[in-house]
Amino acid sequence: MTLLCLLIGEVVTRAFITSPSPAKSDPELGWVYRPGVEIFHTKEGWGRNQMNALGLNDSPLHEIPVGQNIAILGDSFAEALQVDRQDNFSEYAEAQLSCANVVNAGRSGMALTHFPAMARRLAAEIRLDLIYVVLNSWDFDDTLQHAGKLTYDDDGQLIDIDVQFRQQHSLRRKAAVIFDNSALATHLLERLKLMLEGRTVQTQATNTQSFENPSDSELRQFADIFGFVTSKLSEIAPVKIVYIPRLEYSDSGRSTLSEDSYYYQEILRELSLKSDIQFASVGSNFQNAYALHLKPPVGFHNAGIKMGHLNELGHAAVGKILVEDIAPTCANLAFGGEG
Amino acid sequence: MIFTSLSFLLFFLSVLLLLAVFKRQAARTYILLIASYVFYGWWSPVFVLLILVTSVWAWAFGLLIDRTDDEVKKSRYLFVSVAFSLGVLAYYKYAEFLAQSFYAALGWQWTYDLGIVLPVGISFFTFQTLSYSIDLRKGKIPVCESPTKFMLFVAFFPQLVAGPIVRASDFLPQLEKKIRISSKNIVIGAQLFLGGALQKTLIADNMSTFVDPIFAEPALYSAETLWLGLAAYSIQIFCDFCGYSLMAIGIAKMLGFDLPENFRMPYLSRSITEFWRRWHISLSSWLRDYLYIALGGNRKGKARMYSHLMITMLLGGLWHGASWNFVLWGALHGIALAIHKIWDDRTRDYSELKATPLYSSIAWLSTLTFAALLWIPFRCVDFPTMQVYVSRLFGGADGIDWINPQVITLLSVVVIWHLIYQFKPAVLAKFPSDNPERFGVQFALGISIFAIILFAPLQTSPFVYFQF
Repeated sequence: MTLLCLLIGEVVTRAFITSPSPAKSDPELGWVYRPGVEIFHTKEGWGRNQMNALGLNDSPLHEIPVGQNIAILGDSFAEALQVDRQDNFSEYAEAQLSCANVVNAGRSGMALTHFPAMARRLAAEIRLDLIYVVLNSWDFDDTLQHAGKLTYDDDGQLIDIDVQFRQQHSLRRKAAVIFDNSALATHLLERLKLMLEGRTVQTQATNTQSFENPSDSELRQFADIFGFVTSKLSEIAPVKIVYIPRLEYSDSGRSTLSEDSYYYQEILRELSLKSDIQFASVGSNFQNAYALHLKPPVGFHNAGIKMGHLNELGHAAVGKILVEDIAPTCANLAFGGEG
Repeated sequence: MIFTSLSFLLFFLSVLLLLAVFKRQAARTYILLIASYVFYGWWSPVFVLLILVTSVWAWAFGLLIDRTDDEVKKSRYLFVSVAFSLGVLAYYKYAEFLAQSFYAALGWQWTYDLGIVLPVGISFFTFQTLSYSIDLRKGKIPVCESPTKFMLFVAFFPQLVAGPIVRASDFLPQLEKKIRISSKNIVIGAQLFLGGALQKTLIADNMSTFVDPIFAEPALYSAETLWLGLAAYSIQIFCDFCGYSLMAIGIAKMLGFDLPENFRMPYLSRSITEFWRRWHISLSSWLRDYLYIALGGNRKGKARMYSHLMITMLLGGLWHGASWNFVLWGALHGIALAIHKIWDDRTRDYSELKATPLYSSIAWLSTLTFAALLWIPFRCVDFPTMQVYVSRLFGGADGIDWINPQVITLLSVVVIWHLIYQFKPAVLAKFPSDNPERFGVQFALGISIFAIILFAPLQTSPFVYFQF
């Protein structure tokens, strides 16, 4: 009887919930997808995507000799497992631009501090002409949480970030053979982990979450990390920042940036300006999309509307920003100019 | 500590273990009493004192009522006992609401916070002490001499915070018999618990992730989404409360106690009167016996009967929460009950027509629609939100479309469950079974556990009726 139940559980899990664990441990980036693995994502949206040889949600890595090879660095918003590949913003931009090879190097759980390592890996494979760092309002906290060991020189300048992946998830490592083959075990472990992490009980969904400004020391630390990471990335290729804000919605298609989103947007704009980096926010594109379609750019019917990751509409809105930014370069190339 | 949490599982296993070790009746009574106070104190230790004082007060005045032969004194003791219980309830539950309403009536702005925390389950245990005192005064039940047994009656943890509301006449006699932990009771109780857990975690909790945002901001959503939200909430509140009741009944069964049935498929009702015979049965029967009949019931003419119905339902609405939304909800149910009584009287000669499938279907559909629509004032946080919800619902409003596939799936599951209950009741009658060896029982239990583990949302919502 137990075996029968386990078997049914495995079948149901594979059919409706998740695949067996597709991840492997990586000393720099934490858990990354195994090369070539297919990810079946149903928690939000409904996406089935095959990872490439680097474990990224993109087609096999290739370099275009003429035109721009562009890397998109980001977290799960860039990785975009919630939609089919052709709908994510990297593919959207690539499809619209004849001169660009856009590489989606987004990875769930990655923070700003992980980006140099990811960029180095890409640069070892292909020539990179441009790097977009895609950030959202959660990245401030994520970056501080994943700051790792920061080393400062005598002048107070940040000179190194050690983001060695902590030796955790020992159970998962020891029982890897089970999780690699059983969707049920993978799902149960994930649930157990979330339960043990003590997810808070949420009673009512409200639109008025209070926001507290980060402290001065947190702001200073984030600025140090931002400066350090962007300078490291700039050694590989020019860097641009794209910011994905969170909206608050009103009736009749009206919306505004949430208080925290606006705050972080301005922080990032200022830091980008200081580092002489181009900054763009997707805010107005999001607002226009909502006004036009009466559909928020984030959220999915099977999870939550107006919260969570980018849906097809949101990806198109971000994609448009990229296209508008890259298209002039393509025009230059078409007329024989330099990219 | 909610029934679907790990902490409750450990707590309950500890209680069972202690009951297995200590076999004397007195020891087991004490264990259950202490466990009940621990259960309640888990939420807020301070309020254990409240339930203790409330219990001792009702118990002591019960003794006074019993000890005297003077009818006037008996009534005075009853008055003092009831006044105290109601006073405590009024202070914790209604003081701020009354003050706010008073200010609003005078056109003043209420800007204060009285800082009154509503003790969990106060409406439930207050009604239990009230019924004891009233029944004792009427001579329907004997006095409870033992303070321990009486305190356990008031605080018995399976039903302490959200019912079913237990009558002393049902519970206290069970304490006179030996508290028996048997494998048969555990098998039956576990199935009931699991059935309730399925309803709560799989259906109600999943529905709440859809319902909460919609009722929080109805102005954002399209009419279609609001209709789906209403259907989802109707199922959520039923599965949440029915699931809790079933879990409570199952836990009590495992401990050797029988609690009364609280729900009997209310959405299959063909009239609003029938609905209230099937929905929250322990409350509706309490209101009928201690309020409606006490007011005079139908003994004082038709007009008075309708007013008694209205008063009963208004207070029943207010029992659910200190808000004008609940008053409106109760009032509309009262009006509907009165209208149904009139309709029933006037169509008494058409019993054959009423028995036809067409009439039954229309009656069922209209009852279901009416009961569902009245969940809008029940669920909305205030009048303005309710007005927005209703106007957009019927106005075909444009807005965000959110047609959640999980909600559609769960609604279909609930519909199939009701169809089976209606047309193939024998299938469901097999549960709970006292024979754990049966393949069907094992299979159903296994699949239920897996379904909960696989599909229940990680963020468990508190039981809706905890707030009452």
